[in-house]
Amino acid sequence: MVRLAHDVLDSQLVDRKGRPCGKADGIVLLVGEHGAPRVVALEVGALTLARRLHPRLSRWLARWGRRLGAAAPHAYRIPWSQVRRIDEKEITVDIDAAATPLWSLERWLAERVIDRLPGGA
Amino acid sequence: MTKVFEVALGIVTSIGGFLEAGSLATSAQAGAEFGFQLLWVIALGTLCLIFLVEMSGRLAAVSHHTIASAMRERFGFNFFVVPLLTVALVSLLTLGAELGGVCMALQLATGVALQWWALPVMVLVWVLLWRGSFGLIEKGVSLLGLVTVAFLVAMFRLHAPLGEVAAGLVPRLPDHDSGRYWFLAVSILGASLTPYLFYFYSSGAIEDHWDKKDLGTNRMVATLGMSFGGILAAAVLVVAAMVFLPRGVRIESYEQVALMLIDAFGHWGFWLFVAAFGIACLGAVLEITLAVAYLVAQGFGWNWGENVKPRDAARFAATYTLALVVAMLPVVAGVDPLRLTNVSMVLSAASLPVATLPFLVLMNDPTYVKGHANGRFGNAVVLVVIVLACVLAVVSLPLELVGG
Repeated sequence: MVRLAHDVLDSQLVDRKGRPCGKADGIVLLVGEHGAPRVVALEVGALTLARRLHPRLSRWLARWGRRLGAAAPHAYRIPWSQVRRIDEKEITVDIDAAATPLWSLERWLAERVIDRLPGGA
Repeated sequence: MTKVFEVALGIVTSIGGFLEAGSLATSAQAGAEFGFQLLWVIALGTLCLIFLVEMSGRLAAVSHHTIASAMRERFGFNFFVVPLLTVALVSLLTLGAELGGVCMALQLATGVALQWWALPVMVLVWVLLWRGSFGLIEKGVSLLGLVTVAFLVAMFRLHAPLGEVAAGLVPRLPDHDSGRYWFLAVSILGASLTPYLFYFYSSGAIEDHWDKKDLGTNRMVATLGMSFGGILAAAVLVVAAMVFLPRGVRIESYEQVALMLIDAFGHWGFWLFVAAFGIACLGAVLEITLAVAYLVAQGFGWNWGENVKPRDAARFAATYTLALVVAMLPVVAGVDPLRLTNVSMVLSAASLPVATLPFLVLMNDPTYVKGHANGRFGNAVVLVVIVLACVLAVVSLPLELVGG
């Protein structure tokens, strides 16, 4: 049994290489006409966090994101089927974080800033 | 044998890391104005800090969570955002005060105004963080920090009246200037219990891969290390009381504090103070800068660590760089470092309920600490001291700012 709010929401996510890749900022449920609601994905991203604080904050953040030229103005979703393990410390997901948008700021900082400074790599 | 060495090293680290601008300035002010009367506040703050630091290490060793990550997971993001912002802001302000302290030490040593030192100091700190490892920073700076033992030596060279000193450990009401007395009391509590300290400690425990085997070491290091640290802060107060009180000096600037070791050591006392003060503040700067980056990285689940190359924890490295730049602004703007220290210590005290109450809940939640939950005594001590500190802070800060 998994208790979504207790065991999943706001837990640390790590990818298949054991790298921290954000927290479970949101949980996406599919509510169909028939049957019980189904968990379809975990959501990671500032927009999801902002929406939890206040919907207006999220819209405001999305608008500024678009103005600054951010790629996708929505949060990143990890399909529930990629969740491999949930334990007390963290949730392991079967993705390669470095290949996803989760890593875009990390990659940008590493390549554009840190590589140009001495001693960073 | 390695265990003994580890404990010894841990204790040395805590002693060297205990004294910084906050506890040095507030202890010196308290001694100068009220003699030994405020010693009991240092004792109370140190007792509470022992409990908080021990809890922080225990949480990390048992749950493998830092305070920040456990707090977010347990209470959710909407709650976590409050301690996150509070602790980050108070820590940045404290960081500014400590940076101001390093620059002040350089000004005392060279005569060049402290604003000019802001940029070189920032670069030095940044290079140490960028190139150094956690062990280097923790142990290196702390070993150098042992020069702060000079205050204890000074206390004995001045033949402190130990009976009267011991009497200061008994809480009492002030016989004059009660507003100022309580303001200094809360400043001392804020300086002893700055939230970054125990947030930082849990991150260090994770960096050093602690587990349940380390619980005994943790208890020893927290108790002995923080006690010795508290004794150093007390020594500063005693020396200040013996040097400044008879001459009627009220501390208004660090230039005055810098003269406190001259009675004990002569001309060399000045240089000893400059070295002790500069190194102590530098150590605090390194710890607080890391503490802010740890807090943010752990709150958002980024990869973090002082033992990995900046490239492999890019957002973490960017965060501490930014924290340094932001915290340096008041120093560059010419804010008086002593005033900045006093204000940030009182705000530290005011922020304690937000920073510690949720932490206390975690320490009583078997989901995190299993069979290693807090005892009643530990809960009671922390609860009483932080409520006292917060109430005093909320009452005395407006009075101090208005009364100036």
